[in-house]
Amino acid sequence: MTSAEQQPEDSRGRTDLFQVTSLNVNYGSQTILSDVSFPLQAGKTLVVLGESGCGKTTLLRAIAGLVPITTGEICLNGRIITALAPRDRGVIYLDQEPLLFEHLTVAENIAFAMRLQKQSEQIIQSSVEQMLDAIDLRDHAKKKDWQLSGGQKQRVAFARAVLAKPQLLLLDEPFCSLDGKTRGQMQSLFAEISHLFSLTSIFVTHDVKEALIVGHQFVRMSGSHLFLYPDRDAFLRDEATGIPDEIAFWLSQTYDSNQPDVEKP
Amino acid sequence: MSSSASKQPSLAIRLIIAAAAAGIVMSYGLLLILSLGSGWTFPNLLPDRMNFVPWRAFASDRDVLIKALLTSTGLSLIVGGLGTFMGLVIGRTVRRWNSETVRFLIYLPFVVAPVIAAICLYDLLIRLRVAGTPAGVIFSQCIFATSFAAVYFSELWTRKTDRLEDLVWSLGGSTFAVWRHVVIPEGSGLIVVCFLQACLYSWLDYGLVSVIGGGNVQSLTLRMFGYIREASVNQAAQAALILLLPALAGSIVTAVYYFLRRAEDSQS
Repeated sequence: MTSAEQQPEDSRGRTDLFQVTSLNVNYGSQTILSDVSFPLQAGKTLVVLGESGCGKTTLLRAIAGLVPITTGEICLNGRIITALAPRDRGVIYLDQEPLLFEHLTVAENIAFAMRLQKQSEQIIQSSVEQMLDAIDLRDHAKKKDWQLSGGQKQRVAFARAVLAKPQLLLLDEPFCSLDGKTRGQMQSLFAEISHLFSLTSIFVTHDVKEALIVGHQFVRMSGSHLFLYPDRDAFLRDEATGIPDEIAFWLSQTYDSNQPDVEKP
Repeated sequence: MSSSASKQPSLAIRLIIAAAAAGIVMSYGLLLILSLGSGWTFPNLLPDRMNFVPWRAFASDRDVLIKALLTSTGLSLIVGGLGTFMGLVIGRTVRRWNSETVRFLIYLPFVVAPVIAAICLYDLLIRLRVAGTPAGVIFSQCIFATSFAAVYFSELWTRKTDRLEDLVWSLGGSTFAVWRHVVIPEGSGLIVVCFLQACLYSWLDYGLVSVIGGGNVQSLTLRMFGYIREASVNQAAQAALILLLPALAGSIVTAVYYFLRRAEDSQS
């Protein structure tokens, strides 16, 4: 056994690192990702921020093994996973739209990965019941995909991924199709469950508020390149994220609303 | 305008549906008249006599009829099943490879007419000792059924199916899990349609059965053309009616389904 293989299988809550080194992805002559490198601490959420089409989804799919990489190395728990098949990586990719199996109920969808892993039915039942309570869907356990709202589907997809016990969870703008209120609930639920299960995850979003609610580490992608922020303050101060402008805007609105409105008839 | 009124088909659509229905009914009507009538002389609109005597005569040749019916049913079920399964595997592989060359290759069997292909294959089938046997006919029909199914299954999957497949891989699933939880549930409708079409192709095929079967494989189509050659109008019409029964059953099921759906929609 190599030293790499002696690393624990499940990094959640531990201090092992996930590391991407000099990752390049090209489609033909087009460069999608260029020399992307970043580390990720175990049990933390790395937020990837960036405008549409900058390669955020490709980055996640490359890490999950769903798109071929041109050069570079991906290391998880001391194990190089670059050449491994998606199913052998210990990485789960959650799509932008919640994907549920239409022929399965909510409970069966949540138990899906555990059944693939051939865990005992007793463990599956107790885990699913615990998870149904955590995501507040106990009363919907026997419903099918078409009977659920977008937010409920997203909760089921998320619960299924968590119970698969991934070493790394990849979330690609998971709440982008939800309304404001549901989105807020889902952000809180994600933060809560991430903490509860000590999940290590990479969370793609273009919403800075969402980034600040769920994230511990921050990177910004622009034109196939990735910029890593040393800490939260550096992320907050960076003009490119739009956060300083946003803060200035809301401060000015607050200031304006305190002035007497002499123009008003 | 109410929502139910807006769902009503336009006049042009109604006319097209009525014309199609009339065309189907008239074709079957003519075959029915030909199968029942005798002594049809010009310029009478209908035969001089119409009764079940020709059908009784047809049924008296029961052994030949049952054998032809069983042969056609067996051939169509085997070709439908094998063609659909192999086409599904090939079609999905072609879709995953996403190669223009492979996509072009699966269209190749359509370049050659089935009978020409059968003549080209005949030498190979003789060497394989399957010429003039049901196995030879199944082999040659499967080439075309598989090609059709491969083209069908390489094009008709949605982006959602691909994403579900990625999800199963990502969750640690095997190829078996992908088939069990994605390909079969998501493609069940497509698989049934493809199976029925492949069955119908084999059921109605004449060229390959006659060339490869060499007269030893007596399917319903072969019997029907035999009756036409013998100028047995009644028997040819009767055999044609039996041959067209699956298509008639399909049309009736589709029509019933369509009207039931419309009734459900109008109720909701």
